[in-house]
Amino acid sequence: MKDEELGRAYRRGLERPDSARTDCPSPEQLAALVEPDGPEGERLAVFDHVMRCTACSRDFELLRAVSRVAVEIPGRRRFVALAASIALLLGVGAFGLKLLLRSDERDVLRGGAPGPAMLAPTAGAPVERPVVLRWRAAPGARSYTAEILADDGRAIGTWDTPDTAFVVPESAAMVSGHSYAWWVRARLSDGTESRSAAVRFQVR
Amino acid sequence: MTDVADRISVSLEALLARFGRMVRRVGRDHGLADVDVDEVLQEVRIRIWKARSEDVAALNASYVHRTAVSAALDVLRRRRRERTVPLAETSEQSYASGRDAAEAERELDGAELARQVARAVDGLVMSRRPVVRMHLQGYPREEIARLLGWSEAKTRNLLYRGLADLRAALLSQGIGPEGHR
Repeated sequence: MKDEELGRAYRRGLERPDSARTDCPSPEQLAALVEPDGPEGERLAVFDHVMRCTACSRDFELLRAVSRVAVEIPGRRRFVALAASIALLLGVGAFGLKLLLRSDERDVLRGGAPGPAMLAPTAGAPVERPVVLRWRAAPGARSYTAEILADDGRAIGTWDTPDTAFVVPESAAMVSGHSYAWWVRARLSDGTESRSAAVRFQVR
Repeated sequence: MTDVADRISVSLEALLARFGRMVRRVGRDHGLADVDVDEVLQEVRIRIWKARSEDVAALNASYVHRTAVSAALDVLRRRRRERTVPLAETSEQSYASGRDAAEAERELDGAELARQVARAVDGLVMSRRPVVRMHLQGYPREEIARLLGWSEAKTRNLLYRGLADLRAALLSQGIGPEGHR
């Protein structure tokens, strides 16, 4: 039998009322699977139960999904460090950056490989707060890093998201009447990255 | 005051909506129920409101996720307390009702195969059994390795051996490559 057929038959067996709902592991034991934490033998036994018990499987999936997101987002810290580096580089080149912003109708800072297409805010557009960044998905993108730069090239915020939209938090402290630039970097499934152009906009 | 409350509400809802989308995306392939995600989000919403944060928008992602994991655990605890074992259905009867004989027979064949596969998986050695179960449930190998804390090579090795054992066990019951006796 092929794996797909085996899988179908196995899952069909799980759909039936089964006898595995005795001695179900505690929520804490399920959490230890997600961590992962604890002795391997113990964890294997709990996994063995979870994967044949529809109720535990459902519980485990909820914890796994919630925790998985919790794991992905702290990646933000890495990007904060990266953003700091970028900010430093941009700080050094802020003057050039300003020139670039002012000399190009499309407000393009940098680009290169085809990256996410920016949808909003569009170049030069005055926008209300909270600022919502939107872009079109880049082919093969697993997640995105959105960044907003102040007029002096300083990064005021860098955020990771798997989505193609991001609501800029109030903590970014964007000031009415000031100009900013934003851009997005896509992290692709093959491990490479692609970058959007940078777009300048004004906060109303 | 209303303005502040509205702003907090908008920020919180944006945050929760984003978080919910991400959770649903992660669990989509493994049957994560929307209602489960909604239950957790509602718990998180209540906890954050109860915390009377002056500026919800300033809450960092890790706080929200810690709250969400804790809320998910509470949802599971509550569910465990309320959980009751349903009366076992006589599956053969329910499969057969209202269908023609040929279809009913196919269903019964399928049900029997499911039982045999389940028994054969139950007979695998413990070191290979969970990895085979996860594979048959549709978890990708990388995710299995991550959850079990194994290297990719170890996961692949134990999975292939487990699947070989499973096929051998099924063959000994007369279930060959065609899936039936």
